[in-house]
Amino acid sequence: MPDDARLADATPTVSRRGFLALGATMAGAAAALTACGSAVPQGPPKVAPAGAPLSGELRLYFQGSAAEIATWNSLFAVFRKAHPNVHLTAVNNIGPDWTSFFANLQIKIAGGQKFDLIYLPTEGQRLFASKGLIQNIDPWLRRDAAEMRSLYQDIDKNLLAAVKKRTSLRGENYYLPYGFNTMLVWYRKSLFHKANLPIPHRGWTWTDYLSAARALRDKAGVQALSTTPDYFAGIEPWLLTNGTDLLDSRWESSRASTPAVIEAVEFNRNLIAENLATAPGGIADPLGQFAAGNIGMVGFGRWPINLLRTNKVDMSDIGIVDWPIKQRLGSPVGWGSLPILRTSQNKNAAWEFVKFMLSDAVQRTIAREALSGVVPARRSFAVGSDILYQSPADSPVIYNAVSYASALPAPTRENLIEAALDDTLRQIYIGASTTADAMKRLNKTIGQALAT
Amino acid sequence: MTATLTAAGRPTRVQRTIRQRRENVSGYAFIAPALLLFLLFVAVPLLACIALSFTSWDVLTPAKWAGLANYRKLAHDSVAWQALINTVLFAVASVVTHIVIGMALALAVNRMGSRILRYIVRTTVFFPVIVSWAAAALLWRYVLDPDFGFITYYLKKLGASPPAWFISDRWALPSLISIDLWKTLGLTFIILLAGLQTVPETLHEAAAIDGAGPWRRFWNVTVPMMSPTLLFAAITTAIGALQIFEPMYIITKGGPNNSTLSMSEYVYNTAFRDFTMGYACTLALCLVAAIILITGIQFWLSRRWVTYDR
Repeated sequence: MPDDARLADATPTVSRRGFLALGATMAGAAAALTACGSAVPQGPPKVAPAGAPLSGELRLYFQGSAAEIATWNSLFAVFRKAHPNVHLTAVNNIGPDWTSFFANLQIKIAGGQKFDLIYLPTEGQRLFASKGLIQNIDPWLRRDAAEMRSLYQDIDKNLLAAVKKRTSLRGENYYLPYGFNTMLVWYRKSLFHKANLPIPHRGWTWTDYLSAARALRDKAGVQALSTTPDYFAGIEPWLLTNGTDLLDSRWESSRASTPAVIEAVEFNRNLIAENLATAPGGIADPLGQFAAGNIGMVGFGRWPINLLRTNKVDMSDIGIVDWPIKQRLGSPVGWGSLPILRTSQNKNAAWEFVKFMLSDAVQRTIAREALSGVVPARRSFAVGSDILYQSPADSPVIYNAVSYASALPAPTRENLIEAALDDTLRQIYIGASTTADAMKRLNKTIGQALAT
Repeated sequence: MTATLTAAGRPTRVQRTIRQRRENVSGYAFIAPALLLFLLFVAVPLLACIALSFTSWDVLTPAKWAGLANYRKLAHDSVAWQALINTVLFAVASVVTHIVIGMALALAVNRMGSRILRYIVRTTVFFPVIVSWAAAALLWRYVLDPDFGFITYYLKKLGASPPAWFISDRWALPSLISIDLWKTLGLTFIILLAGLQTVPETLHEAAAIDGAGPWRRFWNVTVPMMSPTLLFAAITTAIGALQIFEPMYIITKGGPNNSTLSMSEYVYNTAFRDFTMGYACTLALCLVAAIILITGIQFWLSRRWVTYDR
């Protein structure tokens, strides 16, 4: 037999039947994978009459440590006093950021895991609503209109308006905020005294802030402040106090390369250039360093409380003040919600739990235990005695800032914008790129993210 | 039974067939676990990946047929090409550094007189291989911290101005290549050391008698005799490097400005951050094609320098 012929014999051939079988296997494998996604029910939900007995199971998915499950369990115990036939389970996800949480959540849902309620911060609310995963709560809001009116009276109007405007789609409501965070400057009073600085007050300016930072560095001998390449806790307060934002008011176009944005970024870059803050790229732990008394001023929401308590920090040494201004008072606001998933088989019980998050018992727990590191949504608990429990005396300032705060821009592709912003600010802060050039590139990236 | 035996006692055709079948069944039974795992975790996902690359699928809603749209997108996706270039650069640097330094270390250890010293060096070089990438990444972030990292500290003492290793787009990729070298060199080193120990001493003695010096013996005896081992080490290092994910994901997240974005990380981001699974499958297939191509080139080149004669 000639070599070529032998080769031809040895070469496997694919028959028409074999080819079709291969195609069918591929299609079957793909179909099996895509079928993992759980079917989202269509049509309006069945709303039970008010006061109807509730039963069944509720599963809640949240971002946090296993230790926080105990806190949720304590809330479940209170809930079950009123609804003993409802059994609740909290499932936690441990992740470095919200992006990973959203990814894990979508994978779990696609994999067929059933949840009734999920903890969602502002960053992911429009994303999940736009994917049709979240239940529209309007039927229950209408059913319980009187009760909701009473609760709404205790919540800042600016917050309610922001939630409605930013997370409603097609005029439908999906989220009720049970707590939120604004951005304030937390400072160490003892370090201010050591540097012979006056205590900062609402209305202090960027110039005052810079002077205070220099004095803290030179006279108190500590790291003056911390500036990070983050979005919410990093650049956003500076943008807002400079009268601008990263996106336009409709979250449809980028303002990244406008003069006001560049000015705010430059200001932060200079803080690092002057050695008032550490450059990004290392193991920065502003919270730990602040708790240890090694940093004079840091921007936080309410999340440091539990760490400060654990470290037994003297709360009387901690001051909290509104962000320094350049053009106007400003702070971002991000809120936490427990939306109901459309795949939930127990939506009426889930709604009852959503409402329960605004009850006196839960709001008091949020105020006293700093659950999820947020401020309770209801004013009665956010500025009353509960919020002062083992907390700085200035704590009500965090709630009061919501009256002038702006919602963190969180369009559907917020995760892409946040990642690009982080990368851009890092390069600017270390001097690897000029602010104007880097922000121009960011502007383009954000434009592409908003277009998809 | 007697009816199937020939007079000479040789097995008949029927007996041979039965025995053959039994052997076949045993053979299939032995390979069944591996075959099942291969089908479940390699073949079926690969076929699904090919099929999904022709769809638009966000995981949560049913997939839609997209035809060649994902492939057209790939052709114009500058980020994908940058990721591919980064990955190939990483792989080339990784293969060169692993083989050169691994070989040098293997030669040094092979010549060490003290057994204890050999043991210590082998353990020390191999130790990072068993450290998880998460721990290694954290360790190096401390070591190279721009404010208090000890390398930064000593460079400053020497009057140098160290860069922000992981944020500078000039230094980020070389930093990751170096960390990967530290982390995975041990494996290449052990493979090469094992290969080195199979080179017959008699060949060295014969070459020495013929007047060959150490350098000549290295090139004309050691390298040819070790060429299959070197090829194996180069291929496994290249494949591992082309699939690199962890250091980028943990340390730099692909930044700055995508300068450390590897193809695997881009596939991950596309699949599990952007949830465009169809396009992620297209990218994954592109990576598979790159691995096949580079491995094929390595095999093709090996015909010129690898010898299997002993």
